[in-house]
Amino acid sequence: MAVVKFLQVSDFHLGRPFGWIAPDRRPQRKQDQRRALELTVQQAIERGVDAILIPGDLFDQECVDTDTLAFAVRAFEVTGCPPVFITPGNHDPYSDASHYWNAQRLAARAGAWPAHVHIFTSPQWTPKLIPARDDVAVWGRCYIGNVSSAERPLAPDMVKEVKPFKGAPLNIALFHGSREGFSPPGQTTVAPFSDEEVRRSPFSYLAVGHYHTASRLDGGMGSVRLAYAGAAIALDVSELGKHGGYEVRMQYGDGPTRTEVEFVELDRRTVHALEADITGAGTADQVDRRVAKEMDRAGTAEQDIVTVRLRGRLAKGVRYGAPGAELRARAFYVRVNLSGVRPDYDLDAYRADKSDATETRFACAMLARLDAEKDPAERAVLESALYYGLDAFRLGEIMPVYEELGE
Amino acid sequence: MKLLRLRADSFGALKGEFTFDPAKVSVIVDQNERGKSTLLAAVSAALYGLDGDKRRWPVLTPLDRWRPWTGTNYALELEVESKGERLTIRRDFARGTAEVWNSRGQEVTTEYREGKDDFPVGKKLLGLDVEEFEKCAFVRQTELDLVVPGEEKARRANTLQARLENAADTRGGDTNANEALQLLEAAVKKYTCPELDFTGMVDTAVQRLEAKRGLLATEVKNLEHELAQISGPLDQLSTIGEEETAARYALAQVSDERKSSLAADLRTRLRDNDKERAALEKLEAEAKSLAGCAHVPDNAEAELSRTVGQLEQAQRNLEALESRQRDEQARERGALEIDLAKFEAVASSTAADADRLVALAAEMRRVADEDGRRRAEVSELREQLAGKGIDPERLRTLNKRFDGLDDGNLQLLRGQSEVGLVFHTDLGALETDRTEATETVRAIDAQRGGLRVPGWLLVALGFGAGIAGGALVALGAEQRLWAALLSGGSILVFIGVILLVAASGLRRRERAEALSKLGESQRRISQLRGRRSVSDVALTELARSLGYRDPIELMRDWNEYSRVNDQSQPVHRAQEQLVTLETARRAVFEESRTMLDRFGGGQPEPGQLERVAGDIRALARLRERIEGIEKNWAWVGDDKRAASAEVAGHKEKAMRLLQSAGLIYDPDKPWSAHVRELAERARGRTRLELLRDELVPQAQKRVLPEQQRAELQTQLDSFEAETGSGRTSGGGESRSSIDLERESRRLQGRLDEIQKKRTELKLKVDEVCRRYELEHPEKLQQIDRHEKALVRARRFKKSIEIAGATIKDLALDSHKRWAEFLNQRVAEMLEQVGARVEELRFGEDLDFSVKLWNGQQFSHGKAVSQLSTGARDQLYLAIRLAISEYLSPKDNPLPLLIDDVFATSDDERARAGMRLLIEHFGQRHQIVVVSCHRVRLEELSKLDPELYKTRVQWLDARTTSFVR
Repeated sequence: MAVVKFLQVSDFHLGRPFGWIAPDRRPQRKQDQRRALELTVQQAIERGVDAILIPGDLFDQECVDTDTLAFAVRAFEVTGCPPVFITPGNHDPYSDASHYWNAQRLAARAGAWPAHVHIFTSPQWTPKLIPARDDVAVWGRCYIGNVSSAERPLAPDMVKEVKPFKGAPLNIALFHGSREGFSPPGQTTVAPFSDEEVRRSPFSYLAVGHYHTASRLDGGMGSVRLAYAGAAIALDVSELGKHGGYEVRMQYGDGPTRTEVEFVELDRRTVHALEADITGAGTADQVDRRVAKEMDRAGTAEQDIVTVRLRGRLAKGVRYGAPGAELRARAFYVRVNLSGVRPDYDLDAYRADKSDATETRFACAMLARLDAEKDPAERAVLESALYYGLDAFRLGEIMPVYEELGE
Repeated sequence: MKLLRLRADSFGALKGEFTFDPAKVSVIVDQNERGKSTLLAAVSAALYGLDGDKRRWPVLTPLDRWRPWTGTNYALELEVESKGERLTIRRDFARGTAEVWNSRGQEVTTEYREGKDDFPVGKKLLGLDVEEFEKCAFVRQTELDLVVPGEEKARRANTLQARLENAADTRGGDTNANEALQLLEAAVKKYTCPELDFTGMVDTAVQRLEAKRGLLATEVKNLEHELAQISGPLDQLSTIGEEETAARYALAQVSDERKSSLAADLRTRLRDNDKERAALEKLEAEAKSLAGCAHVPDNAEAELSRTVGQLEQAQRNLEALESRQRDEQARERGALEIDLAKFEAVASSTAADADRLVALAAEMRRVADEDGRRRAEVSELREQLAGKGIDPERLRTLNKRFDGLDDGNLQLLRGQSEVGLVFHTDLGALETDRTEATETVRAIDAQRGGLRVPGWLLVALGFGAGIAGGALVALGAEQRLWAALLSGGSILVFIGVILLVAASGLRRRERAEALSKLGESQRRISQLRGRRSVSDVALTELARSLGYRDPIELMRDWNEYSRVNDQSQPVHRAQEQLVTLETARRAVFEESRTMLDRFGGGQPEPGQLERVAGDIRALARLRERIEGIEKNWAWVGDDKRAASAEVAGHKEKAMRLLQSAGLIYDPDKPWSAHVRELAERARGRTRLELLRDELVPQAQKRVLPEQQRAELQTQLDSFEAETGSGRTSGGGESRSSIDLERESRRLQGRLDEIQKKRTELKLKVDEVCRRYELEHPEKLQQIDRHEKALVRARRFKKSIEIAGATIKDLALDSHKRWAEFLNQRVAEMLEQVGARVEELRFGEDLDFSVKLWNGQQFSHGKAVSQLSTGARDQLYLAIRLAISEYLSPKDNPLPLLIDDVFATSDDERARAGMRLLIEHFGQRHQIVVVSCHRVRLEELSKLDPELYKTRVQWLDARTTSFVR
């Protein structure tokens, strides 16, 4: 049995502005990003992998500044760095005008990719043998901006040309695409494929990029057939957990090919999603303390990224919009989601109240409309209207705070 | 709420206590200006306090309005009953304090606090503020229409309709529908959009957000356009990169060619340099060999020749001088030595010997002269003594007798006269002292005895009395008797002892001194007498030894001897001098003889002595002359020394010259040999100077510095390494260095131009890329943020609109309820008082319209102008009463304070109005009516006696303590 090892990393999104982080911390996160790429090469050398696979979105957009571009080019110029295979993704699609993939333009801006870096520049599957491994071929296809993103890369027509390259028994797919049925909320669909298509594909292993959360498709017998390594570092608070890449280890030869993946941590920050009940909190500080308690319970570290969904009822008159300085200092980034917070109005009591007080009648009228409405957006508006009206009756003041309310 | 008691401690003109019967209508009648209206104002003030804010009341504040003109007290106490609780409200306006006490004696003031130090008890009890209370429950005759202001603006500011709404609401919320609507409207007008840093109308915020979103979208497109536009420059950059490579290659070729040419030049230069270096080393070696001649002074050769000549001349002069001196000295010394032989006898003498011989001759002559004179003097003195009768024999006898005495006897004889004188003189004085001392002692003893006798007597008497007393005691005599004896005896003994003590101490010191003086005198007298007797014994002994009979004879001869001696003293002295002269003469003689024996002998007489002395001096002069021969030729010695010094100087100079030239003087060599050596050295020096000053520096200049040579070598090595191991430029036709330089400059210029263009293009591209990376995502995010903000603003607006519309619908319903009540109640009341009003319609702002019995319908303003004063007052009273009725909580109805409201009504309407108050409102509300129309009210009471008797409490102001 022969063994081949890869380090699969994707979705670095170099040049990402990280606008969701406080301005003073953005440079830190960008530094994390660069460190992850350096760490990738270091880990590849230390682990003795045969190649580094980058299935798309090495860059965040079609153009990054020269410094970032030069850094990316130089990152692989490390002695001992194994061959690197890159397929352009939807954020850094291939084109003749691309600053990254057009050699002349790259040279005009930041030099040239090292010789051991191979870029797949065709939207069709094209093979490339791993240097010094004549028995392993990496098949890649790039993402091209002007091609429909609905094109299915693993459709039979697309893969019919895929044959064992130069007699290499092991064929690896490297591409940027969307696994149907597993798309995270808000994620654009590009180059979709189904699990069935994966199973029918001629590839022994498919290294895919695009989804920022790691996932894999079992090929049976405990072997992995397809894997998303996820974003090398967390690019948003919604990308939960630890981030990094996969060390892919394939045993092939006599008998079925067996593929295992092992997570390689590249991001020192973990993204946590917590939930805190703030019912009864009398002040904003108390809300912060509840959140802090949840963070303690979850064991968040100072360098982590935390998003906390608040739920429950905010006491009458308490205004809470964002975490205080003390809470913010407990993690690299803390975001609170207020969509689950409701003002402390007992709507059921209004429903049960049969008096003809104006306030009660208002509440009942709004609740009746709310009950009748099915459209979530309209429901949210009606809910806001209800709370604004009740604030007017009860608090004597109105602050625009219910626009975040959601289901 | 029921008013029970009011006590005024000066409130305006009001002072005293009023007790109200809450079950009846209280009617207070009095004349004008007597304080009736003040009482009602006092009730309001007790419930709400008085406003002292001069900003609100610039002319006169309510607090100042009711301040009493006299006295310092300014206080009210009101007792009320509210919801079954009896409360006492105390307000001291002079001190600005308020207190509320319940019926259990507990202070509950804090329950009524509002704000910092405001205590609106009435608001807490009735739910109305002071203005609302005075508009509905406190009815003044002249202010009836205030309940519904004529102007729309004033009506809108009126809060009574809000109260009516609250009252219409079965649950009193914190805010009524009207206020809620106002809040919603205000929220829409004060919407804060942080993305725009804007606070204002939500519509404006939406518009601005839309505009901003559009602007951002345009900016994003601009960025994308800019990025697309740099594809041209990027292609140019690629082309330029190729051109740059070609230019660099051409430049490198030219550079190689130049380097080959330069390498050849360098090799030639290095070869020439090696030759020059060898020549230089040869010159330096020669210079090194001549280094010893470097110190030969200028003109050393000529100087040495001249010095050697001078030296030889000086040596010749010195030798001539020495020869002449030797000849002259020999001749002179021969003549003198012949004279010197004549004084051979005194050859060993000295000048001191000559001087001593002359001195001895003189001494010899002087002694001889002096001896003659003294002998003549002695003869003369002896003749004088003989003339005085002094027998020389007697003198010799006495001298013989007394000259042989020893010193002790001589002293004894000389002291006799002195001892006798001292004995007699001292003895007399001592005797006198002794006598005086004795007398003094005796006198003192006599005085003491004068005291001692009575003392002893008294002591004896005392002891006697004591013994007698003791005897009496022993005999057992009468106590008085022996006691008197014992005590008397004791006293006598005591006095006696005192006297004895006094006697013993009397003049004690004086007596001791006298005794001491007596003893001393006695001792000295004894000493004098002892010495005299010793002297007398010794004298007797001497006299006897000298053959005298007694000391007296001895002393007579002694005295004669002493006298004769005194008179022959000059003779003695002259004889002594003669003896002395003789001694001297003998000494001189002996010395003269001795000296003459040394110089040839002869008689020791002055002439001989002086002659020998003359020979000695002559010899000394000869010797001086011989010695003088050397001195006379001393000048020759000076010349010799000068000549020798000149020789030495020249020799030293010549040696110095040799030494300065680095040569060593060899005495075995002639000076001419030295001069030749020096000449050779001088020539060497000239050569050395030529080498050092000209030849070597010129050669050095021709040789390259080592560093430069090393650099050239390095360059050559470098060129050879670059162009290929030391070969010259390859075959073919090589260009000249000028051509190469020109070509190199041309290519370098081209390269610079390309690089400049490339840098410019790169900067442009980098800037676009940098801006794109920096701004594109940021703009997209901004668009996203503004989009969300827009959604939020629209949602807010929509939410507020929905809430507002819903509340408005409900508010109309509330209005409908209180308006219907007022319409109905006011119409009923007006009908009861006989007013011909068929219907009233109240609007949202409490404005109303009136429909008369004849179907005519008037708006509020028109009705006010059309109706008579009485009808209008009745209308407003009815409205106030209806509102009070509506606003009164079921369990706590408002008290109505009515001030002469029927003044403008005719009797019938006044009667009907009073009946309405008493019969209808008095059932639920407590009513206090004040009026100055006493007669009219009395007449009205007569018309309905039963009603007034059972339902009216008459309070005659005159019976109370109004301030008059």
